[in-house]
Amino acid sequence: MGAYLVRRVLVSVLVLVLVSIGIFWLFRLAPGDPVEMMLPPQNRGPGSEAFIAAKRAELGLDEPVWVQYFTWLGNAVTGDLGYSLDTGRSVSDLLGERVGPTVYLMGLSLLLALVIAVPLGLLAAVRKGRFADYAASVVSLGAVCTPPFFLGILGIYVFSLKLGLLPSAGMSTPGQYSVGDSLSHLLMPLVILAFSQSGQFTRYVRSSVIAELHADYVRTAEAKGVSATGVVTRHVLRNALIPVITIVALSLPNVLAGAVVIETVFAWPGMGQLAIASFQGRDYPVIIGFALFFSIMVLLSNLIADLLYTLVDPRVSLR
Amino acid sequence: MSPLLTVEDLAVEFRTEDGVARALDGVSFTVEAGETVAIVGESGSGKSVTALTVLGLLRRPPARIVRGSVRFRDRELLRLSRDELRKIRGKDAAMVFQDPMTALNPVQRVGKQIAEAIRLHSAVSRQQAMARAVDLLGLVGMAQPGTRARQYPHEFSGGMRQRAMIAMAIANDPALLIADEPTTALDVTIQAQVLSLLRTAKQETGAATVLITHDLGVVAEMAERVLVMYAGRIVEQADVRSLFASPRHPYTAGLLASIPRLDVESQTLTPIPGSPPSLLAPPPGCPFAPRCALRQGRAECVSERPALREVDGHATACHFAELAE
Amino acid sequence: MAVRRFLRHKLAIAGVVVLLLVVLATVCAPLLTGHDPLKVDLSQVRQPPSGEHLLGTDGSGRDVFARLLYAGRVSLLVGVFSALLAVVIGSVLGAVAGILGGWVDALIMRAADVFLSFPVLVVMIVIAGILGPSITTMVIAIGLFTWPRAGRVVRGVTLSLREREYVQAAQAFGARTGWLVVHHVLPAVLGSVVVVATIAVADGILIEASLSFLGLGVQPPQPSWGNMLTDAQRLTVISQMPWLWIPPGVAVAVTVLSVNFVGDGLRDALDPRESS
Repeated sequence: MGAYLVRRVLVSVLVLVLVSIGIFWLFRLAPGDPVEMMLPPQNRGPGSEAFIAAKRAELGLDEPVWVQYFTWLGNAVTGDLGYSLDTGRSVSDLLGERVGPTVYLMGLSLLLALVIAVPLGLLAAVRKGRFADYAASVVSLGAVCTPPFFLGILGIYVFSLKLGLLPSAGMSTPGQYSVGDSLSHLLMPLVILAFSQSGQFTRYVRSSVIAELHADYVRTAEAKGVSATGVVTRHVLRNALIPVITIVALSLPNVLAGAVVIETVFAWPGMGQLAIASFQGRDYPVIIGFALFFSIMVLLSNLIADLLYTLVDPRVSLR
Repeated sequence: MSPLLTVEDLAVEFRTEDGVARALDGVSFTVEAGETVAIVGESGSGKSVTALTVLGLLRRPPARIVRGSVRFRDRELLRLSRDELRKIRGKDAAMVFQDPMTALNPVQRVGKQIAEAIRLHSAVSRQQAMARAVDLLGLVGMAQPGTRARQYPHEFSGGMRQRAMIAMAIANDPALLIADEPTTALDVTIQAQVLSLLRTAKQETGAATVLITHDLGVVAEMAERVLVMYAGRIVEQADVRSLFASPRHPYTAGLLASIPRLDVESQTLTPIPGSPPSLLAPPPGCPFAPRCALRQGRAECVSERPALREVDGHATACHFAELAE
Repeated sequence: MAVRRFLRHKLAIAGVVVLLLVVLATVCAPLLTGHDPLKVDLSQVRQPPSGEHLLGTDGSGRDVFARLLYAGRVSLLVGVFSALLAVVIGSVLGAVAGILGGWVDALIMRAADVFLSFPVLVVMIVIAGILGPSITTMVIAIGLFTWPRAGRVVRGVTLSLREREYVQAAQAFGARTGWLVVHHVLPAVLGSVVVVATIAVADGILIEASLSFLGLGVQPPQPSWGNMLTDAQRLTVISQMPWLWIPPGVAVAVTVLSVNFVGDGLRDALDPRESS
């Protein structure tokens, strides 16, 4: 168990190093030298050259690339991701205050997506080829094929603007905090994000259950006298959900990507909104901080997928 | 008293991509209480379909029961509701499957799977059922049954899994035990152990046993009576001694000739040439005619389907059974 | 056989028909509308649908119907080209992994896992945020981060193929890897690759829409279905000018749905065992 974990973590760290080199390389490709940008050509006079050279030395930009990389990496590891070009605030602080709302939205919608997908996929599998199956396919395919931001806009149009039932932006109305108010802000982004995710999950649950329904142990259970419902709930479901659990853990990065879009539509103050805002303002340090944070999250969710798999499947033991 | 199980004129079809396959075509036989009957034949001959139909385990669709009757303890099983049938399955009639590697639920502890069979058919507590499951594992010859009951199937060897399957099948003292190729997937040394266990199980429960196999060695060792199936029909039926001594159907004769025998010097095996007919478009006459050594060009064999008839105490479906050796 | 199974699939047929209509409409855009999708007309700003402007006009007085048709060209091309790139990379790497096996296989499949776990959307935020957005970057990014699906399929088929006798015989006769790929692997994987490619087109169109909506993809004034919705981030546009954002949203959904139907139909037709 220990050795297996250590190996997986080491591989993840290696991938992270590769990713960080990629990010650093992109950073270097960015148009404009930070020092050049400090001093636009029209403001230069005699002595500017010396100033630029001094500034470059101060920032370490005259060092070889690999030294720059390690300096940057060292800073990043200690939490120093630089400062936002836009607001001048520390990038780690900026990211830190955005993590909460995003995790809140993501976690709840993942949960809701599963609450939709597991029963729906199960129903479709058990009623394969019949009306319920087609209905479930239509719903899940609709979820897969409709861009979530379009659903968001549609939701705002109907529920905020036409019916006036739900707020269209933010996590709460400024100055009047209440549980009801937060819930009404949460409802649309939550349901839409969950619905878009549920499409893929439903299809996985369906095909996984169908595959398990043909397994030999199902016939054994029937031969024992287990009812059709009992076969599904006591035998098939757990077997069928094993691969689904892994897929759900692996899809965490996708849920975050979905959240980026939904946060933009609903002005939800999370990581996604921050990322898009900093993209629009070419706020490099924030973008890079976001990229690093995201990469760590991707690798963590891969690790979680591995761990969950070994926890739910007695056949797999950690070696 | 009527037999424990009476199957009459059973016909089953499967819908496939390429058309309708006639898997069973007029199968009739009986099983008396406490006796051991073997059903032999090549794969695809309808042995397993027969067993699954009796217990109502066929998947419909693609299967469809065209006609026939299955009477068990004087009840017509084909007309029972799902729930009524479920109360019989696992209690009065139980089944052991071919591949113990896949027949157990991989994510449920073995003891729990056996206990489930008990709890489905009698009002006992979880603890009582588990205690009985441990007893059963001991009965089927497992060392440390208490520990084994808490393990998962993948921690068991193939032979041990088949023992667990048998423990599960006899958990409710069934009157009928159907074993579908119970030793095919096992090592030769384990096969003998499992067969002897089946005999023990039979002694314990007094259950009539239907043993489905393609292995005539197993038949000779276990069965009192033998049904030979070919292309969805029973082609010969006799008690085991007389079947081995003087087969009255050329197919049976061919099967017997293809067993390697230790007591005979001959080193050459004589497998039956050719392969079974397509069930999608069975020939009009005797389904075995194209491979039959006895036919020798007789027109009757390809024009007319032979019915089962009595010859020397055997039931045989051959126009020229008297000539068979 | 395969053709018959495909034709039996009613939704797939419907998908093909709708898709043909969409493609035809975008290709024949100049025949369907006399308006120039880029022509700004400040006297005709934000007009509701009328006989002259079937779907009204946008904030710069451009004809929305014309933009919708020309946008379709861009969105479809992005979908097709990114899918092609993904399938080519995936097929090559998948075949190499399957044939060579061993550590090469392990490395490629590990890389596939890593690439697949980075959503294109997030990758593009970083790339576009630093290098600036462009259609080329977007197509390359989509292809580069969606190849693993095709890769896994091709590897799977290749592995099963390697066990077949005729391939082993060819290898025993000293056939080179490249020869094996061309003569045995490619024909065998063609069916599965076509299915994967179809789904990849659908994914490509969806990703383009999200990226362009966020300003990470196709840049205005060039229209794409995604960036036509960008304006709908303002409440006044959402509430008072639904003709601006409903048509492109519906166009994406209908097109992606049709492509998916076609993909499902192809899968059933080419591999009946996996039919649903």
